[in-house]
Formats: sequence, structure tokens, C-alpha cells
Amino acid sequence: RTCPNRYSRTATEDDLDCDRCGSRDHKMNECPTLWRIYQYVTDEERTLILDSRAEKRKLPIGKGGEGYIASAEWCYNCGNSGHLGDDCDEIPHFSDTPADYSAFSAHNTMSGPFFDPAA
Amino acid sequence: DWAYRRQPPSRKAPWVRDVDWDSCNNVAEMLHREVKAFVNYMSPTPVEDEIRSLIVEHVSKAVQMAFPDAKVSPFGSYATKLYLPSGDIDLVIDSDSMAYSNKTTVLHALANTIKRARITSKVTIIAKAKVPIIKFVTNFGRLNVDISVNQGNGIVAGNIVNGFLQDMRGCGFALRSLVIIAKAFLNQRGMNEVYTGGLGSYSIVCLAVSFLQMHPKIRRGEIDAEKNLGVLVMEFFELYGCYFNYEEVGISVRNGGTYFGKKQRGWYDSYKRNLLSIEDPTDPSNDISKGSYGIGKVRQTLAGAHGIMTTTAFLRAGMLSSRREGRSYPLRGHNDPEDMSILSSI
Ligand SMILES: [Zn+2]
Ligand SMILES: [Zn+2]
Repeated sequence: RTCPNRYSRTATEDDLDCDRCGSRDHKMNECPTLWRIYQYVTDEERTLILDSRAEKRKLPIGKGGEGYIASAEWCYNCGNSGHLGDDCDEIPHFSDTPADYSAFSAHNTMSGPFFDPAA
Repeated sequence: DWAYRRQPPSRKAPWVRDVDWDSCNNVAEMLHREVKAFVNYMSPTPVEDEIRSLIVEHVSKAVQMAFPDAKVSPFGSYATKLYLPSGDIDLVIDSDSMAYSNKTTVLHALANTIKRARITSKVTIIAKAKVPIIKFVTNFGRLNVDISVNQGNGIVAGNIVNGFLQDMRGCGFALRSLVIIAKAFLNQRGMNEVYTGGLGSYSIVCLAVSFLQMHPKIRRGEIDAEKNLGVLVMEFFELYGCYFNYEEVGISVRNGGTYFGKKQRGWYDSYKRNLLSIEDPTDPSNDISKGSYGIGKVRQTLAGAHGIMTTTAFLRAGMLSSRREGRSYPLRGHNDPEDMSILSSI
């Protein structure tokens, strides 16, 4: 109802398959991949980041715990862990949630150099 | 628009003056550079910070002259340097002698002390609020000051915010950027005051911390937030404008970032279903954003801004690709560099 993104992709006149990402929800010149572009770290940097966080895991907030970032996935839609909000099938999304995927989706975690399909 | 500082009014995006657009490969990079320039432009200058310290010192001396056991401490965005040029100075006084006196009498005595020291000529006393305060505008610097008495929580909260700014590896400047941009954006629309239903400073900080903690690319250690400011700003507006389920989900920044069900927590109010719930980092029994009754409007405004930003980003992407194909001239040169600004569109 309120999100302006909702309307940009519901046009059905011509076929809308996006040549950049294959989505049917938008035209190629309105593809989120035009701006959702991340600058990734190297493998070594990633190890350092994750190690330095792990060290702060036990620290309480106010005593260094601010530097800890957990690894579990949480859902912005139902508030439970184990999946990301875009992929929630526990409760319905708002009626005005855009059809395109957001940052908080398996679609997004499966992109980038660190995605390991075997894992 | 936001361009109210240090420039003739004709300029709409003065912060982009020195941004090098031509070497950008994509829209995310363009917006990254612009966010960096904007945050530096909006952040306190040494002179502004000095003026604030002088005011704090002046107030502190005046109060201690009248109440020798009083300790005056700044908290809130002054203490974390997350303030906008027009932002308030929040002070709290710790004093045992004040704690034993009548609250209203103490506030009146404080007001007189401040006036007698010629820090201001007019003080407003708000005695009936949840946190009673005195408010005034300083003669020197024309800044708003709020003083409360024996409310230690604000200082603890400020220290925690500073902890997030310093200890979240690779996220410090990203946190500062999200807070400054969200504040400037809400400020400009009058949605940054809790007493008018808007989002307070502390709530904005917690939303930004939670966003960074919960972002899958940051959580997995795949990106350095400070090198991805453009995409993160867009995704911040995207999450809280279009996707986040305010009715069901509450936010906690403890334990490395979690969400919780508002109903399970007993923080679900069926009369005000869409209120944002944020667990106070200093006190898990306290919901710091339940007073923001205008959150529905905040959400719509963030969604609107996200829509405009993506539309602008698509236009810029089109320009970049036509430049790459040699169909157009460089971004700088014939064009005004300010025309490439994305932030000035919202
Ligand atoms: Zn696409
Ligand atoms: Zn869910």
C-alpha cells in the first residue's frame, strides 16, 4: 500500500524477464543488481573478522560485548531464527511488501565469492 | 532540503563538491562516496565541538557554585558526537542533596542559577514529564540545552553507543553514517522528536546497530561495512521502510543481535499494533521506542525515500552505461557534479 517499489514491477504489458538477474518482477533497467553491489573482503580478512568477533562473544554489553556479532539468521517478519525475513513462510508478509528480494534473503546470501553450494 | 549549512542557498548538494564521480564503476560506488562526503560535511567541526564544550563547562561551573555536590555530565548525542549542527546538548546532574529535595523546587533553583550565570535569559521547566527537565537556548551559540537530575541511565547508554561505534570491527563509520543520515532525514521532516511521536536519537542508533548486526553479508563476515556505505544506506531504508514487520517483531542489540516476537514478550499492544519495539540495551525490561506513536508515518517516509533513491540510482546506472558505450560525455565536465547526487533527491 505504501511502498512505492511495489508498483514498479507489476506491469504486465510485455515480457519482463530481467536480462541481468532473470527475475520476472522488474525490467532490466530497474534491476536491484544495478545498485545492490557489495565490495567483498578477502579470505584472510574474513577469518580475522570472524575470529575477532568470536573473542568478544562472552563479553557483556557495556564491557566489550558491543563488538560481538552473532551468526544465526533471524527473520524480520516473524521474529524467529533459522531463516531470513524474505524466506519466511511462518506468517504472511504485509500486503505491501515488495515482490523483489531484499538484502535479507537466501537469494542474497547465495550471491558473492563466499557462497559454497556444497556447504 | 538538507543543504542548509555553509553554502549559498542555490546549492542543493554542497557536500559532493569534491566527489570524484568519473572514476566510479557503478552506482553503489557513487553512493558510497557521496555518503562519506555527506557524513563528513554534517559531522561536528572542531569549532562546533569547542563551542559545545565551552557551554558544558560554563553550565557545569554555574551549577557547582550553587550546588557543591553536583556533578554535571553530558550524555546523548553530544557524548557520542552523533549530533547534527542544530542538535541539542543533553546534560544530567548527579547530586545527593538534590535527590532529597522537592523535585519542582530543585528545577526552579536550577533555572535561576542558569539565568543568573547569564547562560540564557529564558528557561522552560517541564516538571510533569516522565523525566522532568529544564530547557533553554544558550545566549552564546544559540544551542538547545536539556538538563535532567539524577537520571544515570543516559550516561550508561552513551557509553554503550560509544562501545558500538568503537568495537564493531569495520562498522564504526557505517554506524555513524546510518545514524547521521537517518537523523538528518527525519529531522528535516519533523519526525525526530519522541514527544511528537517521532523516533528519538537513541532509537535511531539502536535501529542502525541492529541493521548492521543482522545484515547477512556483515553477519557472515563477507563485507566490511565501511567500504559499502552506499548499498547499506539503501538497504537500511529498504528494511525499515518496506520489509520489517513492526507488528510482530521486536529488536534487541544484545548477544550479538537478535529479534523477538512482541507477543511472546508481552510487548504487543492490540490498540497500537504497529509500534516499534526496541529492548533497551541497558535494561531488558524497558522498551525504548514504545512512545514513538508516529512510527507508521516514519515507515512510509522511509519507504518513499527508498523508492526515490532506487529510481535515482537506476537513472545514474543508465548514465554510467551510456558513458561506457561512448554515447555520452564524462559525468564531470559538462554536467554540474551536484546533478549526480543521489542523497539530495530524498
Ligand atoms: Zn534483475
Ligand atoms: Zn519468519
